Amino acid sequence: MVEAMEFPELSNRFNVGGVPQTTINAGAGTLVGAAPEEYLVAEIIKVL
Amino acid sequence: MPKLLTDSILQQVKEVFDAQLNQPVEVLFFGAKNEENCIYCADTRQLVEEVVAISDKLHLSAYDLDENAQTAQTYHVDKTPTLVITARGGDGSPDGDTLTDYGVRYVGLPSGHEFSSLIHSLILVSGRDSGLNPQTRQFLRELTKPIHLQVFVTPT
Repeated sequence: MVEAMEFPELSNRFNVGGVPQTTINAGAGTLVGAAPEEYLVAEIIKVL
Repeated sequence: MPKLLTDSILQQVKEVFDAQLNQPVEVLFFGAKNEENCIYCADTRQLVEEVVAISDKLHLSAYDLDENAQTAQTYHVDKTPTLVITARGGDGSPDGDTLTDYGVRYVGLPSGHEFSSLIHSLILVSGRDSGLNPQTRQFLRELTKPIHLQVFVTPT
């Protein structure tokens, strides 16, 4: 978990708009909104 | 400093902990002594102290990012406040104080909805099980590259 308002430079770096946003490997992948398990796995696979 | 958690919240959290906490958990708090470098450090540390005090199964160790640079490096911590939630005591040695890092980090003050997330994380680590389905576990077992997940949140 990263508190977006407390770390604006990090939020800007990863283009955080709506939260929650899951950033994978420093921006290699991004998932906005709630991340059901299978969906998160699918996004991780894309990054591999 | 006045307490951050109300008696009502403390009571609710205590009931949840009594019902669901299993094995010991240690929270490592990383802060910065200089308040100017970390305006949320004092509140985060106090919040965690109040939560940890609710149960004997919870422990807290506090570190300074600069003075304890070695420890910060061990846990890959470079921002404050950061909470590292670890399992305390190895399998088969519940009285031990060896820490196992599951990679769970809270960066920033866990307020609002994130307070519930923190409580859930403590319970999850206490249960020593991810709760993930078998296919996901298999997938994770086969991972050969590191995966870093950062979930950006706001309190409301």
